[in-house]
Amino acid sequence: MNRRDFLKTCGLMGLLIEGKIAFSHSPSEISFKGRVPLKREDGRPFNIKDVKRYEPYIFFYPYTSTPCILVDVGKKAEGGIGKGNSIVSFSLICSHQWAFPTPSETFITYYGPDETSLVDRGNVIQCCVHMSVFDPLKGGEVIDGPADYPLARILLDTDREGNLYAVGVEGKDQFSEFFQANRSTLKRLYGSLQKAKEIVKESRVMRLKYYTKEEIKC
Amino acid sequence: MDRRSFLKFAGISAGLFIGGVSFGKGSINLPKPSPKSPRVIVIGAGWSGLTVAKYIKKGNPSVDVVLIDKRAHFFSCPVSNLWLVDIVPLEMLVHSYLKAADTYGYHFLQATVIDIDRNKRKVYTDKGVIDYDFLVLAPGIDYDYGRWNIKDPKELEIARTKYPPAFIPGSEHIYLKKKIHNFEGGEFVITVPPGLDYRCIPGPYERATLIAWFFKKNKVKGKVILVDPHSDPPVKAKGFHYAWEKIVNGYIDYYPNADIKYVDVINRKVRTEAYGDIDFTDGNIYPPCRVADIVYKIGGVKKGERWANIDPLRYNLIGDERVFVSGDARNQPFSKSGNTAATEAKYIARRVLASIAGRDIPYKPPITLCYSAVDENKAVWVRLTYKYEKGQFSFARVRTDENPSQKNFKAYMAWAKAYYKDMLAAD
Ligand SMILES: Cc1cc2nc3c(=O)[nH]c(=O)nc-3n(C[C@H](O)[C@H](O)[C@H](O)COP(=O)(O)OP(=O)(O)OC[C@H]3O[C@@H](n4cnc5c(N)ncnc54)[C@H](O)[C@@H]3O)c2cc1C
Ligand code: FES
Repeated sequence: MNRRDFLKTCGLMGLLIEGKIAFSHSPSEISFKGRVPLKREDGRPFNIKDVKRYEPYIFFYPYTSTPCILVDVGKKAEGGIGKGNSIVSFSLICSHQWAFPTPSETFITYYGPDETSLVDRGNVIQCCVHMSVFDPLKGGEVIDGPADYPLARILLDTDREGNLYAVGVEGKDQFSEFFQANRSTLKRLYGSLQKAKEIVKESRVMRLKYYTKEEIKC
Repeated sequence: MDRRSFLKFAGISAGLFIGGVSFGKGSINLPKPSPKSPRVIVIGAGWSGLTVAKYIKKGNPSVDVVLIDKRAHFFSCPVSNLWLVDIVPLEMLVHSYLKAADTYGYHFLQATVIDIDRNKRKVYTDKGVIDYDFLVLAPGIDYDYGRWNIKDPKELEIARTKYPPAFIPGSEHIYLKKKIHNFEGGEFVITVPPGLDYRCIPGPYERATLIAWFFKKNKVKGKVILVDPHSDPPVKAKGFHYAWEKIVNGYIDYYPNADIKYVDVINRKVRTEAYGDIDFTDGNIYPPCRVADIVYKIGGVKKGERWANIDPLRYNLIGDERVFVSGDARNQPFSKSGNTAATEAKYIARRVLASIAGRDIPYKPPITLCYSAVDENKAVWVRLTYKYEKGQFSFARVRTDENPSQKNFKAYMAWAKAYYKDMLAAD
């Protein structure tokens, strides 16, 4: 084990002692470990009480350019945290062909319980690029469409005050495909691919609707 | 590499001339990941073949994958109707095969496949001969002018050259674009093939709408004459009618239920049962379709049929477990679209990998998702999923948004760009 891996492992062990980790019920591979505090836009810690039900939030983890969604789905969800085990988080990179939210628009987003989707129900994450539908209640599994893999799950943790941390990525992440497929867009947004690939030390959380000009729904 | 091995590699040692067709006679030597690596040859680097090649290699890098196409570069049929009328640039449609091969780790061979010996498992190309363990035929379509009684060689040549269908990419599209831009007035005819087994069911309607939009925008004193054997567009009819009435009114005349008997390309008339002869000034004659020639050549089409004779769930040619047919060449009644071809291709890649490993996999039907633009920033879509029950395919779910909108147009562009990234590493 090299020094970096060692530190990463220590970090994760630290968390296990400090608070709960949002592990899924079906054990699956953890593809990334790293504890990062989530912050409000004003720089204060993002607390579990800041999460408004059915409101999708975005933050970037584990890389500067890899978006994640955080949402309270209003009922017990696989791997959920919070009082009702209803707060979940996923990598918001579509596992089909790596669509992701940009400041100008997003084709992949959360649909609240009263919204309709391609599978005639709400409380889903849907990507309108080729119409894949994912279930945030069931660990991001594919309900319909061409995606072959669930959305990768972001493991969340809270400290004693209820402040939120992202601590790992579980399931098949799409990061290498994402970087390869979106090279020029990432270069445009971040200046260089290298910058887009920087690992974050903390991450600002904001409402998805404020981050992106247009949520395109289908 | 010395000269001899170079010639051997390139397969350009003295060609062999058989039955009027020139084969490269040398064998094509491409390095394999290991001497024992099974080789899969994929013929046709279109929406299907590109996806099959990528996902076989991704699924098992030790398999040697050779993708063959007669073209030097990829030219997308989807979105090409928008390029015809200057809504998108050519760079959106044209991509390098080399970048895809380099990124995904398969061989790309620019060659025309002339014949296949299925007993000896050899593919004959104009560049030489190459062996396979498994073969995927993804050569797309060809035109079947005979069904509209265009049979005379002179008429055939005029039809192909002067009124190119532009449903097989490349020169046909480029010439059609010139025609649209140079059109000064009169009737610009577009024909729709009968049935539902032609390439891109909404394609001719999208094209007609956009050309009408272009004429209107440029105040051309002409109109599009859309001659259609169907009673209405089979998909997205509401969306197209909306566009014809509200967006391009006066620039398009629609002739539904036109049982086309013959197209007189010399005197520029479309002969129909319902309307008699419809005259045209210029146009785009899209005839019925059939599978590409190479599938006929290797005995892959039943007598009297037009599509590959394959197992509907396993995709192998009947009687040959090593040869699969995918994409528009298939005979299943799916809409012949790029989305169908690419979603199906992932399943075929898994099926080929399973065959190599001596396993079976469960069937997974493809998905059709097809957008059509109706002007420079509005589009509609239809999405079809399929199921197979009691020996028959039917729709599992049909969804459509026929209200032309900007958000649909944006999704259309995102749809295409994401596919180019996946198939061709285009970014
Ligand atoms: C104008 C237009 C608009 C369309 N719009 C849409 C759309 O919006 N959405 C959608 O989903 N679909 C659309 N389509 C349909 C889509 O283009 C086809 O369904 C798709 O290309 C089928 O893929 P394929 O791989 O089977 O065939 P192709 O993409 O045609 O690929 C076949 C390849 O095989 C090669 N080949 C054939 N014979 C040989 C040989 N003997 N040797 C070597 N190479 C050979 C050809 O050169 C070609 O590159 C549209 C098509 C057209 C023409
Ligand atoms: S990129 Fe999301 S469904 Fe294709």
